Amino acid sequence: MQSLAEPHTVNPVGAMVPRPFRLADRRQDTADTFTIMLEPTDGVPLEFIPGQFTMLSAFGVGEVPISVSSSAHVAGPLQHTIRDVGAVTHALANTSVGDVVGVRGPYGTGWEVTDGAGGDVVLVAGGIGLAPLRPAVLEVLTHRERYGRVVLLYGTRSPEDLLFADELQSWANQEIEVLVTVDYGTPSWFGRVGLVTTLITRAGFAPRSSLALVCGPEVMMRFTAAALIKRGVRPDKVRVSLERNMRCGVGLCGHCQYRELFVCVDGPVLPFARVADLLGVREL
Amino acid sequence: MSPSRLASSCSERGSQANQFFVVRRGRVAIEVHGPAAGTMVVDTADAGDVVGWSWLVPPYEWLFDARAVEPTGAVAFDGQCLRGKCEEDPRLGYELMKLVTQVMLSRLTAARLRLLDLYGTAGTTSPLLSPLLTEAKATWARPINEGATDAEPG
Repeated sequence: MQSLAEPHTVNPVGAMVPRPFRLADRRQDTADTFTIMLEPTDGVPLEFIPGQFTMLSAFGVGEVPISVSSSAHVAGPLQHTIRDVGAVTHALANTSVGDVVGVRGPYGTGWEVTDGAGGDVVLVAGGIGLAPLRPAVLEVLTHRERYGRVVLLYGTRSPEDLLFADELQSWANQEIEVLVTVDYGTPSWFGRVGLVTTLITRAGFAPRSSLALVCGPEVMMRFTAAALIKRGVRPDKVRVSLERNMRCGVGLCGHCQYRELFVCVDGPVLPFARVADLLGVREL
Repeated sequence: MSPSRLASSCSERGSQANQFFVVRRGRVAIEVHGPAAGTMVVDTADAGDVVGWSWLVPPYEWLFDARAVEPTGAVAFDGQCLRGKCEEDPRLGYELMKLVTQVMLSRLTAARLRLLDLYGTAGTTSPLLSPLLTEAKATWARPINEGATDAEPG
């Protein structure tokens, strides 16, 4: 992996120019989260690896880093699952089919799911963290025979906030053990209520031969990684996806600097062992 | 200690807590009811989990409602009897407390993390907390000097 001591060799000019993509479709996933399906106006698909992100432009409003949520192997629209929380994401939420948005990238490191081939794979998602993990799930499903047991542990705020609810069932039907928990439920919710870390002891996987991919809020990732390691997963086999204020995407502007790391090029996916100390530092 | 199939409600807040349960299969929802929030499920217990700690602590009354949300099998333990045994044999009591404390700590940690509303957006409040805050505001938001008349200094 590159660091400050190793100058990045990306051509910053080419990397800074957004490509126009047309909105082919849009899906409202939850009250505040939606998925946009984008087609390149020049017809050239954007290649990426699971875990990477792009810079999405709402022209005239701004840019925002969003992880790709579609399959890297199946031809089709480029998908991003976005939570409507700020000016740019709000503008993207209000785009209509046929509108054009800008896409730069893809940037950063990926999950490298293939490292888990021959062993078990544990995917742990918190909230909208399921979106960056979706391409990894789809990659595993594409080559399901290469992996042992595959477990998806998903924690979210409430039953109404479940992402990809239909797909969760479909994945469960394709030999993925899917365990879901919510922070709070109503009497009509018969599923689990509790923290996602409580699922780690319940899931069926062999820890010593497992690759664990974790995505969610940093506090959740810290406790999840600790629980995975306590169960026996090797620390170098736990990967997390960090979220920082990515701007340029090529390691030049420094907005996403995380001590010696530039998250846009060194991350967003990093071995937990590399960032374990950093995650506990206040205001870093 | 006898195997027991939980009724639809195995504990009711305020009632005497002389038993606790170890769930063997199925699921039990731990519920709380409030005027602002209605009934909310704040936790669930699955196979291997313990339901009920109130038998350990005076006044030995259930603090939450527990309800089986699917066909559930559990082993019921006589907490009152076990309390007596622990009083008679402090070594047993200490060993039991060590086990119980581990589980309680993990539940407390999980509850605290959920209060952070990790998956909410900035500025939102945990749905577990918001009804409490609403009630607290209604109680405490009145100005301290409400009803008092301004007095001119003499």
